[in-house]
Amino acid sequence: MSSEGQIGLFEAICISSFIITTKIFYTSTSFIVKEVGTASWYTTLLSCAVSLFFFFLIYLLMKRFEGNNIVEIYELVLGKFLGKLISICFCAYGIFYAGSTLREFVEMIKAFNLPYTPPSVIMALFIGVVCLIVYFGLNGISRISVISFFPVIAGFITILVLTYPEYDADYLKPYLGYGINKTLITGVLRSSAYDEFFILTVIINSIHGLKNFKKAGVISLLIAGISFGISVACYLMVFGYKIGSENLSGMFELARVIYYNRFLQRLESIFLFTWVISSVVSVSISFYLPISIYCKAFRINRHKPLIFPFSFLLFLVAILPDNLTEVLQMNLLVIRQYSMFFIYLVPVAVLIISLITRKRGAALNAQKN
Amino acid sequence: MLRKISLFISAVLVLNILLTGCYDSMEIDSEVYALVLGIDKGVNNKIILSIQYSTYKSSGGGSSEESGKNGEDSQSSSNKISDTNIQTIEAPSILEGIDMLGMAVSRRISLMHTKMIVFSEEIAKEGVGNYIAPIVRYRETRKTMHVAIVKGKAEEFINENKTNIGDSLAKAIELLTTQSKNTGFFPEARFTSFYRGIMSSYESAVAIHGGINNFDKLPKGNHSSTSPLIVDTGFLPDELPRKGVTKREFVGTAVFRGDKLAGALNSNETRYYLLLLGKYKRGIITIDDREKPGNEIAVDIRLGRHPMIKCRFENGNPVIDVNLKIESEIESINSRINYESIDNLDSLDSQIKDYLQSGLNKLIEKTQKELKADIFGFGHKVAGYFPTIQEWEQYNWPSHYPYAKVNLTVDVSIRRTGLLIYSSPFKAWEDKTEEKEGKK
Amino acid sequence: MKKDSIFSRALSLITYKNAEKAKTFTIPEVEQSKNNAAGTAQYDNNGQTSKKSVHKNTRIIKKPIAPSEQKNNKSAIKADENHISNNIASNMAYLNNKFNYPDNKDFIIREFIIKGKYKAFLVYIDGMVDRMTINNFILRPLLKDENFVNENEVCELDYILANVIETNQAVKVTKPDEVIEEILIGDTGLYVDGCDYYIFSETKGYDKRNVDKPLIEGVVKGSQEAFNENLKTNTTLIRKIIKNNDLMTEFLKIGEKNNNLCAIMYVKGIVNPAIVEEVKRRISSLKTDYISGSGMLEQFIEENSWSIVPTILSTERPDRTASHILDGKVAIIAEGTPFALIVPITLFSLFHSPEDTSMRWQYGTLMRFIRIGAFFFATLLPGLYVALTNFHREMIPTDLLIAIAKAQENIPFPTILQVIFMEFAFELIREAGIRIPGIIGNTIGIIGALILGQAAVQANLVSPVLIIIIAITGLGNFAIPDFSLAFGARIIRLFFITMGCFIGFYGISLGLVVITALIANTKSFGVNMLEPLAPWIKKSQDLIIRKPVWKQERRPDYLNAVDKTMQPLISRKWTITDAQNPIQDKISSKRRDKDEQ
Repeated sequence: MSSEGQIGLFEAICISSFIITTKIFYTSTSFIVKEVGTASWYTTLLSCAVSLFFFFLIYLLMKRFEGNNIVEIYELVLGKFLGKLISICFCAYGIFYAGSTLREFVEMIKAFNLPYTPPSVIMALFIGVVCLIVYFGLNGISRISVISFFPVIAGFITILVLTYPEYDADYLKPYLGYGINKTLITGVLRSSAYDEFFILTVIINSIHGLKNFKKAGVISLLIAGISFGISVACYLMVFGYKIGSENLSGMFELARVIYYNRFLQRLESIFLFTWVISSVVSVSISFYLPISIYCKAFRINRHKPLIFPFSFLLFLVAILPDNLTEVLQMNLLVIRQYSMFFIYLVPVAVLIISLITRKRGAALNAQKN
Repeated sequence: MLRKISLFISAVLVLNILLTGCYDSMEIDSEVYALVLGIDKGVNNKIILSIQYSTYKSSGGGSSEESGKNGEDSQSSSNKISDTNIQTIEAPSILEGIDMLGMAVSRRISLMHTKMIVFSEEIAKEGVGNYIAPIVRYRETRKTMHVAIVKGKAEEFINENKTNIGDSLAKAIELLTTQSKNTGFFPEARFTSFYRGIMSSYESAVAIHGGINNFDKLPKGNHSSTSPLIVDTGFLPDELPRKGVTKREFVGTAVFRGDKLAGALNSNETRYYLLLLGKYKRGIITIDDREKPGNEIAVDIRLGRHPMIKCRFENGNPVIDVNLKIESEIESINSRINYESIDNLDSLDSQIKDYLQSGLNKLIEKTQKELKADIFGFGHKVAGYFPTIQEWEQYNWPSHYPYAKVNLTVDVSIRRTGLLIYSSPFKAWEDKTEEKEGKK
Repeated sequence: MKKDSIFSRALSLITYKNAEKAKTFTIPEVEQSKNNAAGTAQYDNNGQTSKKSVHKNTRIIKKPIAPSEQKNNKSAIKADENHISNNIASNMAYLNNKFNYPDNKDFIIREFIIKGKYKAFLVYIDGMVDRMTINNFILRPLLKDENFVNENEVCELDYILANVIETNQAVKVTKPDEVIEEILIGDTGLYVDGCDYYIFSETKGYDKRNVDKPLIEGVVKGSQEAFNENLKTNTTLIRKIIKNNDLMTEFLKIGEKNNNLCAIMYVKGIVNPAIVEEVKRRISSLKTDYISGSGMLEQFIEENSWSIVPTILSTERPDRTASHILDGKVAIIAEGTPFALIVPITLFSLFHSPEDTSMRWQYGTLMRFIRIGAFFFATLLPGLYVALTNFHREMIPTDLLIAIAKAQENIPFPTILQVIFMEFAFELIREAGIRIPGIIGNTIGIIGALILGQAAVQANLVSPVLIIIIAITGLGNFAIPDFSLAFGARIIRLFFITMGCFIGFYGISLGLVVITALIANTKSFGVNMLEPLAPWIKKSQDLIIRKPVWKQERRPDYLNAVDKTMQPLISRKWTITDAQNPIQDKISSKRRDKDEQ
């Protein structure tokens, strides 16, 4: 897949952090506060650490098969049929992920801004823009994520800074939340919320190989972990654990709280920009992921013809859930709490199998040559 | 050709979606913006809802040119007290009440710009929890609105809520509530903190306490021979001895236990409360001169730093140490005693300190014994002693607060002495033998 | 049968066809050695950048006129498309035929006889030539016998060229099509019987405008010269600024029927040769009848005709052109329009004004921020206003909201209609201001705007707030330094108004993403329009925040220039007290090391 093009380290970091971090703007914050209360700010750091551990394992796998992307590795280790099957599973998960994210976004923008606009219109426009971005391929995605990276970060920091007068560090007490056990279990499970760095394993050949893969993965995980930790802590400091678990969108409620005087208030619509832009970019990335996997699994050289059919799948997945509650308690629970079993454990299993069967990428290459 | 046709069809389809759209689009002037919501207990239904909104009559745009031409016209329009309408309706819930008013008001009523929600005391005593739910959940209402509890009926309060200084009601409300920062006689209670206080296990909620003054407290005629100096006068709404234009007033704090009104702090207690909370910005207090009773000393006090609140447990009972650092500036010394000198400064310090300490202690005792509500947020500090939320909630801080021991220390230091550095006594016309010192 | 074909055609509309990939051009990296370094343009059919090794080769520059061939056949050749006859009658007939002589009155052939024996003629187009030059310095010396001392010449013309003609430029022309070309551009041809070539003397003498003040790119501080319509003048204006023997001027023909000329200017040793090659490839491949000047040429050679922002910078200022050329870019100047085209560019260079560099960096930076703010005003403001008033009323401060509502109260139209009305009125004023002749033109704009706005408000047609919005938008639009970009901003503005009107901020933010994605994926001669941002390249010293001039050490990275540095790390040697200071040597050696890496 040389036709995917080459992107630099910074672009890779942007892509990876975008897709991981955008969920800050969604229900993720309140959800974690509901689960572990006042401990949530370090629970998410714990999740980040767990993810780093799994990232390291996956890195070992990638190192063993240097020069191959994850799809090829599955085929090398598990054989053509099983490898392709697993790749298709990942592809389906990617669609499911992108669709659920899209649906969550649509539900929230309907709740906050466009209550009477039919969701299909919002979705159609959104998918149109996503298709346009994906049309330009990995290069296009990387460019748009680099450009939007700074405004989004700026918007994010502005929210946190402007709500400063509302902070009360005492809301972080009691420090242990609902108990260490709960914190640990949730922390490990919520590492699923960081598993989107998986995209790096798919595009590894486009980011100048292993070294950048490692750097990009670690840095983006750290960026995500730090921004999650800070935002959850800030959110807790404003709302406390009790009403903190009630809100639909943590960051948006934070923006709504901003009040300085009669001029400097009601700023949340400005953050709408940050929010929409980061959502578009992150859905584009997650929409590109299944297309890319599909292309790689079936050795299709050009991804453009696939955009149209895949966009229908995306739309279908997005309109499938009946209501917001179903989205939150089915789709997002699976994605943010249990997807680690799939995303992390399958590559780790493949690593173990490859260790047992003594398959190595480099050795294979040497034989070929 | 086919290509053109298919392009045309798809363009029409897209336009179809878009043009039937503008679903959420609404012109500014097709709505009225309820600036104040008032909620009273209903008679036949659950609530009586009053709203106040600005009208779009006169001024602005092209017509301002015309009104500029004939001065009399503009004169007469400014004589009107305010360009607002007030509507009241009995309804099962706030939001449905708003919709029901739509049968009478010619434009959609929007709550986007609601600045203040006013509850009657009657409702507050029963618990506001039943009424605030839509404000938390509904998209239009903002949590930055102010919460006020009024004596009497909210409807009457709103009826008296007129703008006298300018035309803009919104500005009037915003500035009225920021008066809290200037005087400290009533708290700034925005909905976020109010709701947080109701829900949280750390503290109790407070709201602005308001009322209507009928101007009958101002003593009329028959002066007694002396006007005694009474300091530390706290007032409740409707008790302020004043006369003037507006009848509505914000005086003191309404204290909640859970979502029910537990009692009220008068205006002076509110100052102490804000001091302890660290939200006291500025304000002038008057104390009786200990050296020369009957003469007042006015000092401007402010917090030197955020109050230090520490908590520990002694024999299973929480002990809270509070340390207040207060800086002050002398504004007037009527006794003309030279407090500015380095020897006397300490004496004034201690006078202010005693004054504040006694007031603060009384307030703390009141919240513990009478109100049983931790409005100071001491719970935040206590919570640190419990590892998990379960244990903390089981401990049930509100039930323990009345038995907590609060040690209060106040440090006062006078930093500045106003524009004078020395007070010389008045020229003594009677030949009383007081230490008379020349100015030089 | 027919049904079948319609069906298959319909099917072909929805089935995917592998599109033919156009050649995409990327600028290869060149190794930095001052001379002899060159790269070949890289074409990659996959449309991706590939960092292949660079082939080195030396480029041969063709002289515009091939060396004359030795005449080896004295017998008469008939003049035709390929040959110049050695017979004067045949040549005259050929030219008369080519220029439709008796009907075409501009075409002049002046016959005369040199030394009483050699038949000769001068050929030129009336009006294109300077009569004084022909009379005094060509015709008179030729008709004076004393000029001919040596009689034993192979062909008289060589002798004449060397000894007789007194013009400053005279060349041999041996190809018939070149002959016609030379005549057309205003040179005068001399033919003497028996030769099979012409001598052309430079006698261009048509009327041209003087060098004037810039009209659309005015500056306060900086040079006040602008290009004019004459190609030679324009190239000279640049050469006047860049006094460098490596400054190359190459001429290319554009337009098959109007035989226009364009010049390509660059500095050899700085510019990446691949860019020059690509420019020449594109221009020389053009097959069209008529190119009037830079405006049309720009459209013929730009990469993406659908791009909203211009991908080629067009400027009327020689100093701006010169600074771009020294950056390692290529300037294309076409005869007939007072503009130079500069390639490749990025979006950010469209926001730069020559004034930026002539002012101190603090002021220059501030102006750039203002300009970028102006761009955002010009594109977004009306859209935001529509979105705010129709969708996000909660964001407007309450007092303002009620003020707007009061102003709106008596106006029967919705906001969007008012916006469209005012936009249209504003564009009318703008367009009319250009067309209205002379002195009234300037005033009518202001008066028109004032009266129209005032009257519209008083007639309750538009809200006064809107007038302010539209006025700021208009000002913002005029503050954009690039004329084409300002047009682009207008179109983008309409797009945002539409989006804002339909779905508020959501639509506008989607629109922002769309516009950014489109611009980010547009290329200008192999350079991405948002280059230092996306793809991310760290180093840039003159993007938005302009560093002090002495700190701008490197040429723009995206150009892959042969010579990447503009000045050494320490350009102000006076900051080091002693020139022989060892510190400096150390630094310069460090610098050298760095460069070698």
